[in-house]
Amino acid sequence: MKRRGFLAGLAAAAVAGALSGCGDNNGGGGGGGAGSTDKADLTYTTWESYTADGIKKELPEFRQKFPGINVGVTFTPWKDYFTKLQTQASSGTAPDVFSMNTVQFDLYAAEKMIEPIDSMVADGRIDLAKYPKALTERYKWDGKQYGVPNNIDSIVLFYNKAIFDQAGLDHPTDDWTWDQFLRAAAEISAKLKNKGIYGFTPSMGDSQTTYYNSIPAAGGHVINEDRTKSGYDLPETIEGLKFFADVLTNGTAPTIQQLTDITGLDWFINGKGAMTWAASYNLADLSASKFAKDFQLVRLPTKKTNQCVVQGTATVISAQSKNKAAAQEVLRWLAGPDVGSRVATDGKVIPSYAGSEGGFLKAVPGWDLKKYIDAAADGVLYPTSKNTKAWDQLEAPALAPLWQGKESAESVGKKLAEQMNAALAKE
Amino acid sequence: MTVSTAQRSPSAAAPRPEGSRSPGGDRRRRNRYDGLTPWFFVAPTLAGVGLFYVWPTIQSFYFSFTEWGAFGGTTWVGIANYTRLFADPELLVALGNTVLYAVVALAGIPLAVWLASLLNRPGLRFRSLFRVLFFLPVVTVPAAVSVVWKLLYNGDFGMINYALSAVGIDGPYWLQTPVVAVIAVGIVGVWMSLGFNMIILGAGLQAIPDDLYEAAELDGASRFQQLIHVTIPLLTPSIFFLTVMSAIGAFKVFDLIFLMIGNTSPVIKETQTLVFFFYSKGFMVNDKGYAAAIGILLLLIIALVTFVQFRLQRKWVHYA
Repeated sequence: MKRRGFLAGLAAAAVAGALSGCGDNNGGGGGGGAGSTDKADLTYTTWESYTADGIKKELPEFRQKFPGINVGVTFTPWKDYFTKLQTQASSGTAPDVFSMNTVQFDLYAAEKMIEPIDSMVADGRIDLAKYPKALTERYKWDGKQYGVPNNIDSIVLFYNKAIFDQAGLDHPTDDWTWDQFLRAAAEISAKLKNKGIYGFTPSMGDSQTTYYNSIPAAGGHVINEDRTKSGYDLPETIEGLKFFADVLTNGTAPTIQQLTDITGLDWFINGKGAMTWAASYNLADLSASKFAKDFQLVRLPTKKTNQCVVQGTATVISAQSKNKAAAQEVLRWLAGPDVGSRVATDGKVIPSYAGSEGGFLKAVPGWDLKKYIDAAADGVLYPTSKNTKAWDQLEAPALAPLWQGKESAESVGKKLAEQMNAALAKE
Repeated sequence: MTVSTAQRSPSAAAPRPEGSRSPGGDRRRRNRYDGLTPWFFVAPTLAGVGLFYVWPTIQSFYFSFTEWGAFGGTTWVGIANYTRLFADPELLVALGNTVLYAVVALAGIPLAVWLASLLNRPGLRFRSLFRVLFFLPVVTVPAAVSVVWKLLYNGDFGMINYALSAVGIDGPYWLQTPVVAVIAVGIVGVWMSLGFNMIILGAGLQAIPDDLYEAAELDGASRFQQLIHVTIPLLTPSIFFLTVMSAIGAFKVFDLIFLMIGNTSPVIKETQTLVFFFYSKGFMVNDKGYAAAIGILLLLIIALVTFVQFRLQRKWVHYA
């Protein structure tokens, strides 16, 4: 009898615990203060571990100039970063200064979660001319400047010299066309598949290093310039999708299942792929490979263009910050050349501050990292809109049947465009 | 629930008053002087449950009738979230996967019964060692478990497919194939809960009096007959408890799906469970009102399943 009561009670209690989640909601915004730089306790959060490390190293320098400002640096992994930030911002506890990307920027600016830095531009503390124009423009909303990029991501083609030599093929060059690229990749796969080596191992889980590049290269776009309409139903965009659909289904690359079990980048890093497309944020992983000495990089292959997609991380100030004067000094310091070149050298990311790329270029001896800077210089902006997340979450599931070879690029593109336009209509 | 069952079963605790004939003790007179004192003792627990379970549940119920802005701020939309939910093809997929996962999880209970009775055999050597081995997965972090099992399940280089290839079977891409992936994750779930289930069952086994087995043996019952006619019937309270707990746990599964299949997998829409569906709407697309509606539906489903189980227990659970 006793047991019955106990066990049944436990079981019933478990039902009660079945539902939780959906936290409190106080509405965000407001509550900030001007403050002074004499004394401030600020918090800073980023998803870039190398930026967090670099800042910690440079912090004593900053404290010499501003002994009263204390900066607590927090690193949040990329996967949870924006989920956490959004929750913090909703409950009025966002960090004073934090990292931002172009995907989420409009949302934070439009909802007045971040603070404009026009006053800093006006009094010369920030010189916009020192940063790539396309990206500084991107961190503008409603005519106001909210941030400047700290570092930039661009995409290049990485290849494994040893595998090319093994297959007896010429190494890729900057002016390779899609046809040359595809022919070489297919040939390597045909010759070396029995050793488990593929000619091309794309990281299909990461649109930024895959179809976001083949689409502009074919002359298409994901979203139009006004950021009001999907481009997925355009013939050029569909051609960009077909590039990957073909290699995934004709044996040139591993299948989408294989590439989900192990990412394309990992195939390449482990010497099982002759070529992959990689972002500058992949450099730390690539240079840690035991095959790193066989790796080299060139620009992406050309269809109509060889433009890659460019994204840039910026630092912004929370509208909820209690001491904005101090936060501005922190932002100015982070956007400046000292932190930029330190982070670029240690973390192998491209600094955005003009003239501070010296350390980056030498970050991995023997690799021609200038290709990344060239690629960034003529890249196209990463596709975004006010509520990017509402439609970029639709891409992976909508494109899955295409990568699996179950549906044509035309029909998948048309469906995705419809879904995306419906999401854009709600903005 | 706990309170009401306790009231109905005083017989085991207090000496029964003269003249009481009902074994259920319905005619027990309440002690008026209990007063407020018991409430002071349960107040800390009640406060926690109220603050962290009851109040959020009530709020979620309210939120399920609203639409959320990106940073909070709700608009009342009536039953719009629910009409949308019931027309959403993803709901059926998520529900189907959750039920499939629950079936796998429940199939782990007979396995636990079998293993627990093996471990309970008199004269077994290294009993403690086995117990530790079976219990280890329970105290291992799900993230670590997922990493290891992901390697085992890997289609090209995984141990499982390697072992299968030795006997001429070409194994699937376990985590990248719809249906198969849910079962594969379910197996990990069973593996992780086996130790806990065996502890509960082991306690139940040890509570079975030895004289019942002696009597059965005298009557000429074989080992198997003893299992069917003595052990299992007397174990039904524990089995019932585990069925309820496993079903609830299965309906709430999220971590393993999230960690082993992941939100970037092309098959995630075909392999997601209800809680993953809730998560993707609430935190990835940031449609929190809609997610709250999914949560409420999940609560109702779990409540219904548990209610049915409590009803059915009358037919098969024996309390000694």
